[in-house]
Amino acid sequence: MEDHSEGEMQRQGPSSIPSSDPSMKLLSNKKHQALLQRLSQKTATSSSSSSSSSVTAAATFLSQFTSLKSAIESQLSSAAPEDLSSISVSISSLENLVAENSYHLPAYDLRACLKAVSELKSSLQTVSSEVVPKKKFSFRRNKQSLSKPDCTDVGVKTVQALTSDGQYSQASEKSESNITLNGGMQCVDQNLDNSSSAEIPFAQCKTKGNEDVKLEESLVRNNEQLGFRNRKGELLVMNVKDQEVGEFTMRDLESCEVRLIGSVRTIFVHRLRDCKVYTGPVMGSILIEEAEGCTFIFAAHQIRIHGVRSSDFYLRVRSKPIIEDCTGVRFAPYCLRYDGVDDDLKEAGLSKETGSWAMVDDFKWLRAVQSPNWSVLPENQRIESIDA
Amino acid sequence: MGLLSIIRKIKKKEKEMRILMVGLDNSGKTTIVLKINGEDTSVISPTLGFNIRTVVYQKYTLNIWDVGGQKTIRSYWRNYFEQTDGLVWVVDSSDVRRLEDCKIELENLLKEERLSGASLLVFANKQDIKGALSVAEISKVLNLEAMDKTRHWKIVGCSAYTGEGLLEGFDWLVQDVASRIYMLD
Repeated sequence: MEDHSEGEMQRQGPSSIPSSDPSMKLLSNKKHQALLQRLSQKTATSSSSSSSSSVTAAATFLSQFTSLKSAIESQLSSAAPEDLSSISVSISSLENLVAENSYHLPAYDLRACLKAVSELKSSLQTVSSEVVPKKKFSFRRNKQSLSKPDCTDVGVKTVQALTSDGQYSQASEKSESNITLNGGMQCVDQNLDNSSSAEIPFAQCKTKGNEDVKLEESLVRNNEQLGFRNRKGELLVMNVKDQEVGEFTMRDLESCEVRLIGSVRTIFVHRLRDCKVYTGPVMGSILIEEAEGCTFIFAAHQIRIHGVRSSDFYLRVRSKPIIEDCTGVRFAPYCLRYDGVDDDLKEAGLSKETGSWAMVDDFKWLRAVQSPNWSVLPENQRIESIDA
Repeated sequence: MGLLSIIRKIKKKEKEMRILMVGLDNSGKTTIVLKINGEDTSVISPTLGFNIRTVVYQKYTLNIWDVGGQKTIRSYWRNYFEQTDGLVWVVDSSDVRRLEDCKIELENLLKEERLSGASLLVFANKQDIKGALSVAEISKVLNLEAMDKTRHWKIVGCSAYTGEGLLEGFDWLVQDVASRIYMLD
């Protein structure tokens, strides 16, 4: 009974202890002191035991560390090229050892160990640079560039005629010789001189550093992107059926009609004006930047449209197309027809019309109401279908 | 006990890492995240905003923040910088024309003080596309060798389409972050 009442008292807390009962007060005081004593004992033992264990652990670690370190140093002093990788492995395991022990190491020791490791690393670097001669950097010629010139050959005859004086054939000639980076730069210089009228007027070239342009151009030459560049008022047809084509680029075209028959992996479109572009299905994404007064027929997994004005898009797309900085762009479903287009669409996973051509996301209009920048092209204004 | 060691202890307990995926639009960030998470990658719309995926990787829990790369929303990237352990920069290796933009954006990102401690993994994505630039070429153009010596970084060629190279990259990133914040055990 007494126990019970005491328990109840405790549950009620110290504030409710009736001060009128001195024995009760004494009891609780005693208990309190005992508790304090127990606590202090506990902390004392735990701190002493933990500190002693961490001290011994730190000591064993330090001896282990120094022996490993001196082993690595002796290896480094007499290193042959084939030893280097094993040395770097042992340095990284040493680093891991430091990491593992970082918890109980005193701050100074930790710092000292980390410093020692980084010194080992840097001395490994100097040793390896002395032992192994540095590889000279050069661009490898891509394997596929060998097959690329065939692409133009296989293409429809009109294309050959069109490209005979264009960039593309020039590029493939240039790449016959193996181009190192420096060589590539020089060759681009010549190119710029030869076709300065075609290359220079890009606004972007002017704003960019000269060297960057050269670098980019040299990379372009090196990789021989497939596509059409710098044309005006031409009919450009390319058939890539039964070929493996990576990316296809259309750039700086004016009043041209482009027909791409067959399937490619990705398409880049940049600076087109008053053009009509009809392409077969794309396995990956299409990126369009800067176009005006154009009509596009595209089928792709993703379509991104940037900085386009007054243009119509006939799309088959698996995800939502997006626009950014666009005005007056209109959308309609895909309507290109050529021999075998259905097979190509099927192979690209685009055989089903999902209706997502009309679900356009406008990054410049993040509101619930319809964006004023795009609209669905009224049915009576759509082109029926195009036969390429 | 200093604040840093408290943070370390918490991190050790949870074994969590915060990974931020950024890069130009069309580089394949979302596809990489979904692929590594074993999700369907066939229908992916360009990211308007961001996605978060929690992936259990080895013995760590990765919180992967995949932020959209369109020009309009790049200025919001900085809202995600805080407490980032690993930074993944994704490059479209087939997009030669915008490599310069890519370089500038990466340089701006690395200047950010809140990211100064984060390990950097550069994914040269779309290696499966014919004519894509090689890892060495991307590395050269982005001038990665000239980076601040204190930064832990690595460039890995990959294809989010086939999945090639993704594990290699994430293996490195997770190991590097783990050893850097002393979570090895």
